[in-house]
Amino acid sequence: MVKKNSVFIVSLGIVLLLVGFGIHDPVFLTRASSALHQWIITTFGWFYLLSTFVFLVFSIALAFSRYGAIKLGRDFEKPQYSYFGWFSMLFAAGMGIGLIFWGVAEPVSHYMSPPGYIEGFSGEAAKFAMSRCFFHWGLHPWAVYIVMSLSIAYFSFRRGMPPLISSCFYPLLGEKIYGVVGLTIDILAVFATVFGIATSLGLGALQITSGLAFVFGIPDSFFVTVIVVCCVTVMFMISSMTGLDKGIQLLSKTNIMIAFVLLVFMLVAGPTAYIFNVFTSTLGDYFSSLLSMSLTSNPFQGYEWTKNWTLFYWAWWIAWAPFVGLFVASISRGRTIREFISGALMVPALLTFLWFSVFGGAALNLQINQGVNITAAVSNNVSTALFVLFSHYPMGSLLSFVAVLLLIVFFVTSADSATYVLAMMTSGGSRNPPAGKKIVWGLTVSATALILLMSGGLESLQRMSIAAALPLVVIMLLLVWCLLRGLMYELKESSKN
Amino acid sequence: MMLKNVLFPVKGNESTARLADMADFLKIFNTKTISLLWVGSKKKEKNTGFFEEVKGLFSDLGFETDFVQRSGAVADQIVQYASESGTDFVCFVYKRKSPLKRALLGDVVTDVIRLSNLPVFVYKRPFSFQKTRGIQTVMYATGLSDTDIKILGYLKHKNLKADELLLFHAGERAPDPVAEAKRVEMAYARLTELEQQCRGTFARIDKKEAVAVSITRAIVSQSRSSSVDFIIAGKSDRANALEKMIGSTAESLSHKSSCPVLIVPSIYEGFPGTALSQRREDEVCHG
Repeated sequence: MVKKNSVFIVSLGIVLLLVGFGIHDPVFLTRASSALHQWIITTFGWFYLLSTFVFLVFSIALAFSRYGAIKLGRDFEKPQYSYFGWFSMLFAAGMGIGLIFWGVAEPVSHYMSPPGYIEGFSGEAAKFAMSRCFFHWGLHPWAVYIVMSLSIAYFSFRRGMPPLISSCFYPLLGEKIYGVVGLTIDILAVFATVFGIATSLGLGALQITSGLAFVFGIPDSFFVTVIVVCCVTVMFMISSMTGLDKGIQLLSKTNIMIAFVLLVFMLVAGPTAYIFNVFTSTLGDYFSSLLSMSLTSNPFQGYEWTKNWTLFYWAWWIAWAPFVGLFVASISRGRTIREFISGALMVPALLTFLWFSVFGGAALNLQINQGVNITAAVSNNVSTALFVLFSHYPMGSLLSFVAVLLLIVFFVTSADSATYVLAMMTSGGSRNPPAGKKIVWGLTVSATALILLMSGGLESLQRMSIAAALPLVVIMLLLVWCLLRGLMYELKESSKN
Repeated sequence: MMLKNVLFPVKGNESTARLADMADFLKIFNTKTISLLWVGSKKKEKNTGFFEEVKGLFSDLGFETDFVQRSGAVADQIVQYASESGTDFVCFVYKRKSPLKRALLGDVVTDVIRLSNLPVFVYKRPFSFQKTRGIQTVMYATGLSDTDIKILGYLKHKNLKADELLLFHAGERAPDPVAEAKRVEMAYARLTELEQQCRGTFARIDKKEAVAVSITRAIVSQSRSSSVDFIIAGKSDRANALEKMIGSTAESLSHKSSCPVLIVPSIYEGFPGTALSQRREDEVCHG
């Protein structure tokens, strides 16, 4: 009981303190967070690369190992959610809004400004752009999430411990998980989640505002952003109150269906053969250069590019892992480790590849083959890239409207899952966290996003959340060890019996 | 007799004072015969004077001593000769080597522990051991495995005279508190079984259980804090990949302990069920 409230009080205190600091002196916060962020990415970038690769190898090896047959729950338990419900929630929590944001903007950005050893606006740059999008959004982020979620799912559903990151450390720390060390781990997870979700909420609100301005001509002003954040907050709070089985699942399924409709429409209405060519050749490039991409930081030429993109993403996925990990764990009860890993690794990655091929491929087709200067739109405002693409398609306005709707729904889904997870983390891992805590976290996250949007400290907050990735990556490497210990113990015991 | 014949590989530069200490210690095993083995290249001449001196020293202490000379890879020759000659155990006087030196040049003691199916005794001058009072505390560092049954024979042997036996088990923590409580309970139950089997041989028997990430470190630390004079430990033949790379607990214990160690393999020379294995087991069990 003491710990439940300790995590809640301390993490809320830290969040409020930093937000207060961001309001009081946003310039200093920006300078301090930039320096910290740059130092971490420059000094430990290689560590992120190596660790993420380790997580990928570990996940694949585990799926094929004899441990793959172990169930995340009691032996007789069946999965709580259908495959469709499970995949929808996985995808909505793990990627969702980011994919809508970057689906067009990222391939176009890489095409314009690849690392120094590739000439921009060339065929080589286009090839590079697509394969890097697959790389940044493909197997690696899911491997990061898998390590976190698998550990939490195993230790909570199989070993009967509360679904908290600190619980996974029992083989290493024993009873100390109930003390300061465990408390610190859980607070760090809350910290990364709050700042991660507040940043996403703030940046997402900006994109929705841009979308509304693009589609309906509503002024792209701070006041509209405030209204967007308020509306979204009300929606995700309502959804969060209904819990996993109703609101979150329903919204996630709605997301996937809208996204699927949009994807199919673009595939049919766009250059279908071109898109499939992009898909198959990029898939080939991706798999053939997976090892070199995984471990290359371009130290001789192009390190800045790697720092700004790959290492930023890796840090972001790691910072995002406590939230996604806890959420994915809570929806994966009753699945075997093999089923969990193969499902969480393959299906979202495949969907992501399709998404980038369709939207990125269509944008590059416009740029390369039809002479449309889509790169200018991306340079001008990254958040409008998708809407610019739609404007060159039939029913462009309708598509933009659907995209704004999709953004809002994805947004609400991410935010309500995050609120649920935050309440769970600060209630000692209760699967039915009190409504009061959901309200507190929901309001805190929205207020943080708004206040920092106003004061200009939002990106500083994002950098702070990414800074939390450094201790988190160490925590995750230890999680791999703890999980292996647990699985080895389990097999040893079952062979004795 | 369980440890009657010992094979003692010598390099020719050992201190005779330490050899005398070791020979004193061997008396507690009731060892009768010491076979000195020198392994060197054909070109290298042995230090004949030294061997004569050692032979004389051991004879004076009441041991029958013979001398054998071989050439080839040292650890291989020791293991091969031990297996051919019907030796009961192999004995070394420990000489400290830095981990770097061990890694680069190898270590005969480690190799013999790894290769041999015979018990290996590594002598170190124990901190608290005095010739006059002999061994006070023996620690059996048990993995609670099949090796227990082999080692019980040594612990219960009439020649092993010690006041106190410490039964110590260090294990890895179970993945959750319930399983951990069960693991500890089972460990104590097994230690209690061992205690009952050893009752009557020692004036006092203590049981201790510890959670450890490094089993060797836990054994060494417990042996120091309990002023143990002599450690007996088993050697498992089911080493995992990591142990194969960095060495087993038994191998590292021989380097890290601060008192003499007897490493008993889980299998004897000759597979279980063979006449040789049976003979050895009979000897161990009946003294």
